[in-house]
Amino acid sequence: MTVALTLLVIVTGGATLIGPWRIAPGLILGDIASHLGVGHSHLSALQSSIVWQIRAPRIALGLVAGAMLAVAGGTYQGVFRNPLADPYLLGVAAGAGLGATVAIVGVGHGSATPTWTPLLAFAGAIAAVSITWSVGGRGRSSSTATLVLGGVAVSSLLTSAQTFVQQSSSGSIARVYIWLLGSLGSATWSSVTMILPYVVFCIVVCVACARALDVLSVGDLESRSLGLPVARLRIFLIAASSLGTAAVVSAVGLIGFVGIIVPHVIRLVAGTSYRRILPLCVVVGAAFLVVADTVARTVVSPSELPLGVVTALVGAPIFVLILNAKRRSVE
Amino acid sequence: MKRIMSMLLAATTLVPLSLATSAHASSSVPSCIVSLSPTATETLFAIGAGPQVQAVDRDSNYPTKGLPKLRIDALNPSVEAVAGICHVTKTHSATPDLVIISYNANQILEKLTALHVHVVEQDAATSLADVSRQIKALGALTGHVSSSTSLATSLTKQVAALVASIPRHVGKVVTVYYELDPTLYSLTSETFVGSIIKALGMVNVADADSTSGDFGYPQLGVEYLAASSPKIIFLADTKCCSANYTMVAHRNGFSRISAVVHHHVVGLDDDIASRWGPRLGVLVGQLTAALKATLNDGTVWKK
Amino acid sequence: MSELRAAGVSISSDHVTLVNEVTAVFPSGRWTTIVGPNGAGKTTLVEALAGVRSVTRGTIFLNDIALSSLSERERARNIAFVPQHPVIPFGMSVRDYVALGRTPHHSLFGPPTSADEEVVVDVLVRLDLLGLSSRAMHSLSGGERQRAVLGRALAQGTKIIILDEPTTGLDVRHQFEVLELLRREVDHGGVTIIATLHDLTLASQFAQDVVLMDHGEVLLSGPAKEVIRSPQLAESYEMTLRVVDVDGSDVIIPVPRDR
Repeated sequence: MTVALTLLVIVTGGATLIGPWRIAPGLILGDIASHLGVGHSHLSALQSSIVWQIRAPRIALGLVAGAMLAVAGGTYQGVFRNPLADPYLLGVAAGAGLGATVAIVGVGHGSATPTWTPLLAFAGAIAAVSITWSVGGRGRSSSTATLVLGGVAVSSLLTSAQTFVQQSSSGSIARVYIWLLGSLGSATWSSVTMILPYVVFCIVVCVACARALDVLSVGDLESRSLGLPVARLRIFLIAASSLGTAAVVSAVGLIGFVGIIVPHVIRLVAGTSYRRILPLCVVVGAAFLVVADTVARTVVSPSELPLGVVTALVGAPIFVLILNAKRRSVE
Repeated sequence: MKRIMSMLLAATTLVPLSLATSAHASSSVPSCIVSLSPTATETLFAIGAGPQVQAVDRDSNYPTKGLPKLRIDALNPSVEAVAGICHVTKTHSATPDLVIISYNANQILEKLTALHVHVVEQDAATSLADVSRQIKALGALTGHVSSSTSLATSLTKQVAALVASIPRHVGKVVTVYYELDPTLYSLTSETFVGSIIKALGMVNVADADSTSGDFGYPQLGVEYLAASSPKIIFLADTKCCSANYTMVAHRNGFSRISAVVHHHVVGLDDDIASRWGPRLGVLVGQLTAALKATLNDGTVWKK
Repeated sequence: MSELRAAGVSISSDHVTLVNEVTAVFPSGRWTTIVGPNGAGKTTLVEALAGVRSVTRGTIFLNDIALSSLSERERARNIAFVPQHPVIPFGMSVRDYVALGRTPHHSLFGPPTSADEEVVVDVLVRLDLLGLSSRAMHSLSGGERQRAVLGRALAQGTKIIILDEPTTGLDVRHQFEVLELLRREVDHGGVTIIATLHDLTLASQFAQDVVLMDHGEVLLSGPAKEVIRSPQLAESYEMTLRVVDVDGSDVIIPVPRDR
């Protein structure tokens, strides 16, 4: 854990120092120090704005989003006892996409992304999970398989609805597509503070239930025999991780791979116990997304790579490595 | 119809210099301009402000020579990168003097304004008066007042002359289908281009086949098009989708449409057709020419 | 006192009756084995007795208190359940697995207490698992694994342990090892054991009472020596059963009818 935390501090610090607008790292460090009460800052007002109003909110949003997506992924993997589960399994992505598309298209060709895009995305995500929940048998003694199948059905339905809405207005097709690809470019301090309460609440809940997830790994029948309130736990955890994921998706769009890759990487290093995996997800997830975003916004400056592309480009090879490692260890 | 056009022309003589948001005016000629609007880019270069432009968006492709090398994605702009454009090119060490956008992505307007950058938002024009206003505004902002005024005036005059050159044609209804893409997306008279088509006296078949849910861009059906048999087909998808007469003629159900039969299928440059800048006159010119050709083509009107 | 009693219990699923009007007593501090041919409803009944499956009609009583009225944790502190094919979590150590048995005793959100740790160590020693405690569960042999599973049940510290075919997949030596372990709990710990067993000889040697089930109903119950020799048992299995006394233990030899 200490390793992970050190890594996080290094990554965050590094990200603050790097950006398309070159500011000498020493100046920035000096500014940080001055905020902590040590020495004076030599940053101009403009440079300070660049660092603290444009770069820092983006990094903060990346930390929050990365942590939440990783924890949600790990929690879903524990609740469904399936290593391929990711936070979008029950329809969060499809619902948020539909909500955002309706918002962007509904405003027609207005110039600004409407302020209700995040709200509708959030509403869509929550609605989707609720529908999946009621369709999938409410997580009763019927297996998690029905829930997953329900998620597949709901996702397909909502994705096709989203495509229909998107196609109905050729003027905003590109804008919707950009939203779907996911980006931290719209980060402001207010967008961070808006989702922070949800994310903190959800992460705390999931991490607190980490031990229960370990018990759950022996299956529903035996968990019940050990006194675990399986159905209630499942609802609770699905609700918490979906809520947090919906909040993140409403602010940054659909960023894939974080939720599925980070828990697996941690498993390789720290073992299969959720009481260690989930807290590490918070730290490693945050660091991973900040690294990905820093790459995305600097390598082809002044252009940017879409964040979803970078996480996939980095995530896919890691995924393959993990699968190979697991294969070899089982043989 | 002519009265509508002359009213529009009269409106352009009033010059409300309403800038979109930021309130402070630049005191000196800006040397670091970033244009995130292809239309604004065309205008800037047309009024002589080209050398002052240091970066443009990915879709800015006209004029073909002289555009700066740096490109920004207008739909997902890196605010920090835009703020630092001239810092990087060493034009000067501060933020850009002027940034022009047509879509406020990533809240770039608010963020750059907070950095004391002058950001001007020029949305898609809804009338000829709008077009003039935007051109003159850019002129005032960049220190090219006289060239912008003359550009606006000549554009307006050019359009007026084109309109005037259309002969009276009572009894001849010129129906048109304006194609945005090969899957039969079109635009209605609600849109800017649509309003020009209407002002020129043509009847847009998309108007009758659209509902409020289309926001002015309905997708038409083949049966409907075949039944309405428009006299002219304008193709605004020649660049993106290689649309041309042959492709259209071979489409199912199109072979008996009047425009196909009498060869009044006109290809437009996608970019010219989607922008509301200096090349607007070219677009109106193409529309007018097609209209005249159709009116003069006796075979179209033979019963 | 730790007695389980089924009163008029019926269990159906998808309109199929699995258990039909079963009334039976599983006396405190004794070992009762449930026998019967495949599909008799044994697994369904023991799952209900353990409280991990709901009943359609009737009630199950734990010391005269309805099982359904207890909270899940209370019930888990009184009854441990070992299914026929326990799920073995990949990557979990033996020690952590055995420690799962302490779940009903400490808060779900907190770590086990030192008292819990002591119980776990005690069980590991008793079952000779201490040397294996940091090994991964999935890397153990069949016999070692079943010992660990039992370890979890023992760590749960309950007065009643219910097991469904605890000898599944074990060789002769390990079968005896497991059953002797359980018998010790009954004899020295006063634990109530309810187990289903398919091997009639083992059933009669280790259990004190036997319950015979067939087609979802209890046909017969009573002391092992009597039920084993009953004609109903042979009827249910549709075989002739010869019971032979070998040094005081009953050995049942099945003889197919056609021969």
